[in-house]
Amino acid sequence: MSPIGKTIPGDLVSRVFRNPYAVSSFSLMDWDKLVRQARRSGLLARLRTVLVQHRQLDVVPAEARWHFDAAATLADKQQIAVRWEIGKIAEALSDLTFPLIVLKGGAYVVAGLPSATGRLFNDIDILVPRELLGPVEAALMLAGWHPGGLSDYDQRYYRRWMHEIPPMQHVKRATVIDVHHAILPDTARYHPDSVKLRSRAVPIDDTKKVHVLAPEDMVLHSATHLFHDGELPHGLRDLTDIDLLFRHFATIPGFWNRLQARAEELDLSRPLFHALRYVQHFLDTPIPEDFAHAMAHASPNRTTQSLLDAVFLRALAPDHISCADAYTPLARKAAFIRAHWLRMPPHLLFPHLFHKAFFQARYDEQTT
Amino acid sequence: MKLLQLSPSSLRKHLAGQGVWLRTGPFSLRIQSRLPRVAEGLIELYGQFEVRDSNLAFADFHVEINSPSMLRRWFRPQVNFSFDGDLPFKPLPLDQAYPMLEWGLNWSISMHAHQYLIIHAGVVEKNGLAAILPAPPGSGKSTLTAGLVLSGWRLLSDELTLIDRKTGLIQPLPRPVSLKNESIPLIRDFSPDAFINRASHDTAKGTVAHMRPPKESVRRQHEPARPGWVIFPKWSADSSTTLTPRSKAQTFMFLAQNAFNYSQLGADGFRVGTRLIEQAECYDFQYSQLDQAVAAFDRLANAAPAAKAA
Amino acid sequence: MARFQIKCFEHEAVVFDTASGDTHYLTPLAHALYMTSRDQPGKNLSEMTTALALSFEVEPDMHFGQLIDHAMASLQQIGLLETP
Repeated sequence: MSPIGKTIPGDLVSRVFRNPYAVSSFSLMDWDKLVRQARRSGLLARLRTVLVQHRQLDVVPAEARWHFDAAATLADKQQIAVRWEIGKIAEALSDLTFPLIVLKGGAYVVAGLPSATGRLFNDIDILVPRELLGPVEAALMLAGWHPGGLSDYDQRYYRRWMHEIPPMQHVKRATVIDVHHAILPDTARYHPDSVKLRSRAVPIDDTKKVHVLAPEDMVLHSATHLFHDGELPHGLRDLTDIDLLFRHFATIPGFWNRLQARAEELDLSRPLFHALRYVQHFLDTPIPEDFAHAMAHASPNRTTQSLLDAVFLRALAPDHISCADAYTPLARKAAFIRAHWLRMPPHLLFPHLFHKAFFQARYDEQTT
Repeated sequence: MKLLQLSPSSLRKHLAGQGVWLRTGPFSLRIQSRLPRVAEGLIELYGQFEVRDSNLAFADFHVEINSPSMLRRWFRPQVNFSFDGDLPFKPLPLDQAYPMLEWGLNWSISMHAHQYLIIHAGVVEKNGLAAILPAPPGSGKSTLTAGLVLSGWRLLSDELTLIDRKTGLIQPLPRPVSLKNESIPLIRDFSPDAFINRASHDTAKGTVAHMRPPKESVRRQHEPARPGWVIFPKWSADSSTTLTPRSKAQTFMFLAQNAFNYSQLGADGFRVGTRLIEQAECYDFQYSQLDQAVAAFDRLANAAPAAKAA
Repeated sequence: MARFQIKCFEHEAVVFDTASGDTHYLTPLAHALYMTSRDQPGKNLSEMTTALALSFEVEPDMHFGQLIDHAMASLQQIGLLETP
């Protein structure tokens, strides 16, 4: 039972993840809501996997069934596309001798993790040494990816303030790569050491062309990304990623101890604490008691915790009207601002938000 | 219960309130709108389709067609299409509220219904075989579709041809046929009985109106059809009526590039698409006179082996 | 499932690459060249050129040789044939 209490009663998606057998008592209108919430959260395919694993797929009413199947079709296809794309990226960067590290969803696919199944993917994220950003960008451009589709302002935002290359899009395949040299921007409050992360990267096969982060680092990255990124339309989806990573890595001896030590070492205990709290609340993820106890020191003070709960209990639920209460819009805004607050110091943040609020909308109108 | 069994005032009330649940082909919709044009369009064009209590029935797609704000109802009035709370399109002028519903439904289906290979084509059926009519805009595809269904062919669909991935059969979706510009008076002349609703002007495609689907086509909307032909129509003034065989491989490549969701289906898209082409005769078709075009299609249908066997 | 799915429509063919998701068209000559190299792996390029010229009922001249080169290049680009 979660330390926080009940989830939003309208949130059927996390209810089914916690207890797949609950669907056997769903009414037709429950299914109507579930499909809509799941579609919004990008979780239709993953829900289908869960239902299959618990032999509940036949419980799905005939009217609703195609929604799950169609989403699974998309997810299956995207896995193939991601694998191919990563192969192409490795090819493009093969002259540069450094271990190419794939992050997030792409990593789950190439490492064959359960968190790859039933997932939809947007961009592919890679981690490269900071000093090689220039050569990497050049090599990718040679192979057909181009930084573009952004306003001048946004390009500057990426290059000057975030010290990153803007997302690069392939001219033919339209796939997008996000090239990172660190898992958090330079301007952020926390600075997990990229050299340390890279030193423990694991090759996915004997060719050693492609690497992923070590299990503990993968979990920490996922947790940090979730609680430092303002965009939470897929908050619940990201939580299910973390849940699946925990369940999978829990089978590796010593994982929890290493996770705790690494969180200390990289100064990421706080985001890990947030991840633990909300993954248990929404998804009932099994966490060893002694580990949870050991992590308790990383909790914020009681007032801050209440505030964070008020925000994240709403912002992590499916972004659908049936999961919203009166405070949800405010909670989502607060999560957005908080993430930006953590990414940028105030003297950069306020002009940035001002610009975004007043100019972004008009730019979107012009370019679409 | 059919939509025409609802009183117009009852329909308007539900439409503006909790929404109207409506089934069209294999899809159920919950449509909500406070705009009179949308109510009018549904009453005029969707009378034969099934309605149910929207609070009791599962709906595949929840859509809304409303003005963006109170202000935009009166000052340069606009309309938005909302898909379960998302706005996939920019607003359009209020005059285009009804076509926006149709375009929005096309989008909803082609973005999500991956149980089908979805081809941008009209499709009609006679004597147990379906003729698929893919065509780029402006080639007269909808005019030909309208002419055929007003001459005894069954309307399977005007814009979206749905190929069932499991069976390879074509799933009907006999929604209103969209007509543009000169096609509107042309079809009115061709068949004075055809009902065509009020046109919307200055759309991206010019003047647009919709023709009510034939009652019989709607009655048979749950009967899939076997593919018989893939025919690329091209209207050109003073052209004679000619049917020319076409490379199957090239036809398949066209479908692969132009189907809405071919690439989303992976290897199965290839399997379903090639099986379709294997079964169908592929032609280019040129015409200038609609009645001659219909006659040519009738000859095809009568010559088909399925027709002979039946 | 084999990486390449091929469907023949009389003399032409279409190919689906299950790894990349790409779909390709094969001209009659490219199709015939692929089938020959697959069914008779022992033959070298000039032997295949002669055999194909015979089956297409044309002279195995320089022009035909160029067509073969072109077809070969497209098969290699698709990945159906290995680039030597």
